[in-house]
Amino acid sequence: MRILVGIKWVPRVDQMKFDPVTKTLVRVGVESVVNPPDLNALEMGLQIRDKVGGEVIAVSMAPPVAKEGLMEAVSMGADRGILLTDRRMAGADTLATSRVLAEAAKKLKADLILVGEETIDSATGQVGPGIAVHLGIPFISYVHKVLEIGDESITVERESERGVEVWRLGLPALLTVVLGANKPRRPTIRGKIRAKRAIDFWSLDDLGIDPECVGFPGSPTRVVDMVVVEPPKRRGEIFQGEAAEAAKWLADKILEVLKGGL
Amino acid sequence: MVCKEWPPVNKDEWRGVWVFLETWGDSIEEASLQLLGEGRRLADRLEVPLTGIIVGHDLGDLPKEAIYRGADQVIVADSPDLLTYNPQKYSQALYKLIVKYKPEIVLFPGTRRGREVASSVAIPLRTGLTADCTAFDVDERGNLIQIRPAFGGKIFAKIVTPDRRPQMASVRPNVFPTPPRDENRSGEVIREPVKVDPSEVELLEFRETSQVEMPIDKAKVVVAGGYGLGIPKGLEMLRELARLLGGALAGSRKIVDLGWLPRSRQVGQTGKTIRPDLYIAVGISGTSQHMVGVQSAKVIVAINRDPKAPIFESCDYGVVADYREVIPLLLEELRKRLASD
Repeated sequence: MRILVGIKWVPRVDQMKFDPVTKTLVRVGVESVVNPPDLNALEMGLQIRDKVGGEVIAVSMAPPVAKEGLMEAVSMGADRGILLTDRRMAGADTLATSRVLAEAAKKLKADLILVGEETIDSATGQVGPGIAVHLGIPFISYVHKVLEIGDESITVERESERGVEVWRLGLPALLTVVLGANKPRRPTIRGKIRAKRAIDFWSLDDLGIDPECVGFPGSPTRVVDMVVVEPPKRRGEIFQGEAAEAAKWLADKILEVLKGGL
Repeated sequence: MVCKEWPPVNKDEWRGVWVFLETWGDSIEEASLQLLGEGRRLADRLEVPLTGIIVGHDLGDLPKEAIYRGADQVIVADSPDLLTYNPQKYSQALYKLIVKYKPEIVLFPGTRRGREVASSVAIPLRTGLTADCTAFDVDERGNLIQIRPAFGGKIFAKIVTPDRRPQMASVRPNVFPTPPRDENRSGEVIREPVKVDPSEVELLEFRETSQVEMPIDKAKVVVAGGYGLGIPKGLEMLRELARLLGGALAGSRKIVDLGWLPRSRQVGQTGKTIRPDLYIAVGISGTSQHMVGVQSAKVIVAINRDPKAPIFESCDYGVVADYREVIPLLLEELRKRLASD
């Protein structure tokens, strides 16, 4: 079985600081990591490969620096990595991104595609389903467990707002995997050594897609502005003092809210 | 030059606001009703009709509920094959109706199913889809301005889909209030029989989760704990406080990642957006990722040992103290007063 795992190399958004003077995000000194749920997707893929055989290929569409994320995936056990990188792919929204990744999956004849539920920097959850729809294959999002895998189909479990659902998908198929679905294995030293020579680079010409359909021109959405939305002003009454007094003060406030007074 | 794979669009032909309504059994999901409220506002602003769109079969009087909540009309994509949710079939049915009726805007609830359908429909239409919008506006050319948090809520992006139609967006539950129900409203329900292809994905089993504890997005009072609690056992006190106030227990991302609480109880950017009357945050520092999920709470109370915690800048009432000292006293105080009332 050929399993493709989508890997995104993302900035640690929790480390980003907002500069109120320039009104921009300060990215200097911010680390990048593999998007956390992508590691759960990778672990799921590795477990399937270890059970039924085949190979796991980690794939990213990103600038060359994202090679690091793919190397991490290989050091954890992926067989190889492919970085789809080309200046013309820059500025892509979810439509253009899924278009490129779908073409790579097609070229690789993937039987199963696994991606994280969403990324910590963009948080749309749209690229995974987009890849599947471009390819015309079935998908299910937010999977936490594989129940059964055969040559023709895969049966998985996911949680929805109302309960637990069991879905069977004909292969090839795509799953988006939730954060915490499993415990991703650690990189090994042997894996790290292997990773250095296990990453290929593919350009737009390797994929053969019209440049008008990828990157900025292939993206229907436009970011017109970045704004700071001030959160609603709140009272900001802070009590500092003895615990017993604080408890009384707080009880007053809480009971007033419950009575609809505040 | 435009991508040749994109079907041509004449923007003037696309008119009206649609809301995709997610149904469960014999009701419309709350998140979908909330979108009818915001959809009504946008439709009035653009001076176009508001349409609720339901995919399903044998729905009885259900479509009328959307009229009572503000829709001018409801279109039902109807087929026996659409009796239960299937991402491929539902998307295909919706896609066919979008191409037929040409709405300029389609809004989706940002639920698991809503997001699946929205993501699927955007691809064959080759149009823009903006996830998790928190506000909308209209620009001078009549484009929908979609506002969504970026980089964990530290900043907001204004996004438009200038040349493609429809303009599609998803909105998380509880971002907008639920509009009032008015049975005097009237409107047309249009049944559209649709044919859908067999699907390669099939629901084998559904086990409804029994709601033993109150879900955090339905509770009027939410008591939430963060990493500042120090130990998972610290949650016991908060659970007691939640119980006393008839509320629900929630947590920050950090403690959910640590497995102290299930993910269904996580508040914030990667968890749930809630709008309770009262939010009590204990040992939560108040990162932008967290606060974006409670922005619509009426009153926010913070208890934290660190006087410099950012949450003290965005709360109504704050107590700088060790929760292990204050909460037991607060419980005692509340019990006493609630008993004497």
